[in-house]
Amino acid sequence: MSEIDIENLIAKTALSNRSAFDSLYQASSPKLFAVVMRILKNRELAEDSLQEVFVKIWQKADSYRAGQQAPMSWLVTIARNHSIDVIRANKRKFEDIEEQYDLKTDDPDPEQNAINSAERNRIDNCLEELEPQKAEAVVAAYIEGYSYQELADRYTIPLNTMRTWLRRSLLSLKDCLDNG
Amino acid sequence: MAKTATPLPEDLEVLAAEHVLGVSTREERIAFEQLAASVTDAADAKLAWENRLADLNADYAPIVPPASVKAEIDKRLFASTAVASVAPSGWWNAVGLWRGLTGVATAVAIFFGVSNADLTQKLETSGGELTAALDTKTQAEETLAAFEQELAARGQQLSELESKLVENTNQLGSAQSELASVKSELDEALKAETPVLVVSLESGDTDYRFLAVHEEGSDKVRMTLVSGAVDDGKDFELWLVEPEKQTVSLGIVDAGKTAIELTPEFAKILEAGGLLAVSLEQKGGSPTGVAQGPVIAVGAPNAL
Repeated sequence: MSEIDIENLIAKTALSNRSAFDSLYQASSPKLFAVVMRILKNRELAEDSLQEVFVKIWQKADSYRAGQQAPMSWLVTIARNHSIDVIRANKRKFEDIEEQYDLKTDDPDPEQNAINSAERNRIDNCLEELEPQKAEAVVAAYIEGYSYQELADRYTIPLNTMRTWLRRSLLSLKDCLDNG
Repeated sequence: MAKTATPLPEDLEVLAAEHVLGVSTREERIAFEQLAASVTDAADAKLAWENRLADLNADYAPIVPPASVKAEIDKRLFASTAVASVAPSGWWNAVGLWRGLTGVATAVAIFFGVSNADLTQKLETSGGELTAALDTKTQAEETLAAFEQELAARGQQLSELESKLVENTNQLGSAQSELASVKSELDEALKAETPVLVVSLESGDTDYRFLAVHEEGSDKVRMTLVSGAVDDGKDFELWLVEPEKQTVSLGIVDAGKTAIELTPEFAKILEAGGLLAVSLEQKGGSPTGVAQGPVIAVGAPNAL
């Protein structure tokens, strides 16, 4: 399923079309479940959150603007925001339940692949311009939803240092991505 | 809500980046969401960061969620929607046209509602007939029970609608005879155990009411104008509305009773729950094949 197809499904979902919503779920739920699992690291919480995410998608579909954002990015953003809100509200009660995440990821079929394996080349080139540890912290924060405090603990550096690190890294990234 | 001063552009950039990256605290997240909701620059900075970092989404390797999740979602979003409620999407791409149309009453309500004492008597007669059938057919027994239950439940509505109908005396006479004949056809059909679809077409905004009756397997839908004034310069046009499909004209509905031919394909759509709508068009109907006049009545089929 192409990005255009996903866009059409979101547009139809905005018109309360249930079969479009069903198709949108089929096409995007594995990706969005991966997002909530990765950030929440708890299967039960992730399943509940995936429900919330799709309720939001149903309700907010009319606010998607096709020209501004790729449809999968828009969907992933909803899933990330929801998951991060959940862990910030609950703290992380399920520290290091690594086995929880030790679920084998499904082999994506070729169709899924088209949506899910967006090229990382552009951002990878810019991440390479940062010190490896800082690049790694940026990626870990984004993918796992770590807070500043959690990052500081992981890298065993003071919170303020982590804050300065990351802010500088983000601004360098912006320069590189916007001018690259 | 606390008034926050709009941050300087470079601060805004950092706040947006931290927000999208996800490292900020709960309080900071809430504050930034509020800022983005009211300050365009903040919303733009957020969107720009979402797009900058979107390539990282490739790291999320898909995991198929259990089927129970989708079932729960459907339960939460659609539990209250009944069989007959078809989402109004894709119809001529003009949702606004339909938005004003409200309150599609059940066919049975209108069926009883438009009748008067005479019809009630006919119903009792039909009750008698059905009682006779009860001896031999368990199915008929169930139908009758549902029928009678419905009759009792709608008693109140009956009297209200009756008094309204007295006002429309000029139409009442013809409507009565129409309905009596529709009723007898329905009785026939019930006895023959042929499923009959009844569609009450109306809208909350107009006085127009139509009753459409279609016997499953037949190639006709019988239309009756039950209330609403006839404009000599206009025609009523009947439409078959299938979600996500092109709406098709079924023809012109006369002021009295009209039997409209259905192709087998259209009969199938109707039997599968397609909606009927009537629009007010120029004489001879819309020349374009798409409704041009106002939609004055709409209804979903109910099996009787």
